[in-house]
Amino acid sequence: MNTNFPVPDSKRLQRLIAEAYERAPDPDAVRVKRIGERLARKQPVQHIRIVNKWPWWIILLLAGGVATAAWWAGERWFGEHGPVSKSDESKISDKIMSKKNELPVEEQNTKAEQKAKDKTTFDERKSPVIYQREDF
Amino acid sequence: MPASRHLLERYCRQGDKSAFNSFYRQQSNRLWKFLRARGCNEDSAYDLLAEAFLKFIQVVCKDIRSPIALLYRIAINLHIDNYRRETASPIVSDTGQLDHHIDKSAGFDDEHEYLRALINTLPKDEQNLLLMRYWIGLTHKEIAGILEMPEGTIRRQCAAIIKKLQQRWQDSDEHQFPRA
Repeated sequence: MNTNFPVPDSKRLQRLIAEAYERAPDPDAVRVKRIGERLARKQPVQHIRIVNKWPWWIILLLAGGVATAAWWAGERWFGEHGPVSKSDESKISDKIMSKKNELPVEEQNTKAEQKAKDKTTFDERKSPVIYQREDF
Repeated sequence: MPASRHLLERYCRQGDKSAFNSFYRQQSNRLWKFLRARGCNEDSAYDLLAEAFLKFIQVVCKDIRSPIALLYRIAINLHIDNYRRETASPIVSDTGQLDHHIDKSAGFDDEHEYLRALINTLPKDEQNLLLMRYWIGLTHKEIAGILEMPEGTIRRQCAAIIKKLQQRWQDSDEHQFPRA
């Protein structure tokens, strides 16, 4: 009986582990078979989860494609036939313009001042001078 | 022999019971031996084998990516529950305070037997890791899923346990039979 076993390297040790347990005594075949039969009886008749043949991502892709097509078609249709016709559109814009022109005088003045201020501010912003010292 | 995963795909998608039976025949012996190696007595190992497969049937079709890892995860959890219930004394205690040295005078027919005895001196978790990785053949990733640890940790631990085993092999050798 050999009692002095040389220390194996890592690879050999890993192989020995697998061999050591594979060689362990097997279970009683009859008992294992009986367990298998019990499992077969306990399995539900229809255990299958309902798995579509079509993967879920294909369905998602198709739905997305249909939605995109519908949106595109809608855009095109509204573009041609639009909810408001062009003649009506021009009428509406004229009305809006005339209403604007009917503003009270004071408001018009305030608006003019504001416009002037905005213009200056706008011009100042456009100026290349970032900072200019004030001469007092 | 068809791979386990293909068998279970046939079982889950087509209800092919014979596919599941083939899977059971493939895995049952090894699982029983694993439970025995983990410290179960013979009868408990049969009971746990049945229970593990029963639970396995109930959940496997939800995710059949790693069926063997799932099976062993169930078996290990059942074994832990059983151990707590019975407070049976396994070959290796949880604290791993057993003598690390093997009494070679007890006689080992071959180094496989000696190695099994040596592995039994390791803490339980390390034994699980060793057997799942190098005997059952699970990947580091699958074991990480079972033990709920990062894959990198599993890799490092596997390497460390192999080194530890080599050290104990050497220490036992020197302890019992000091070199002249």
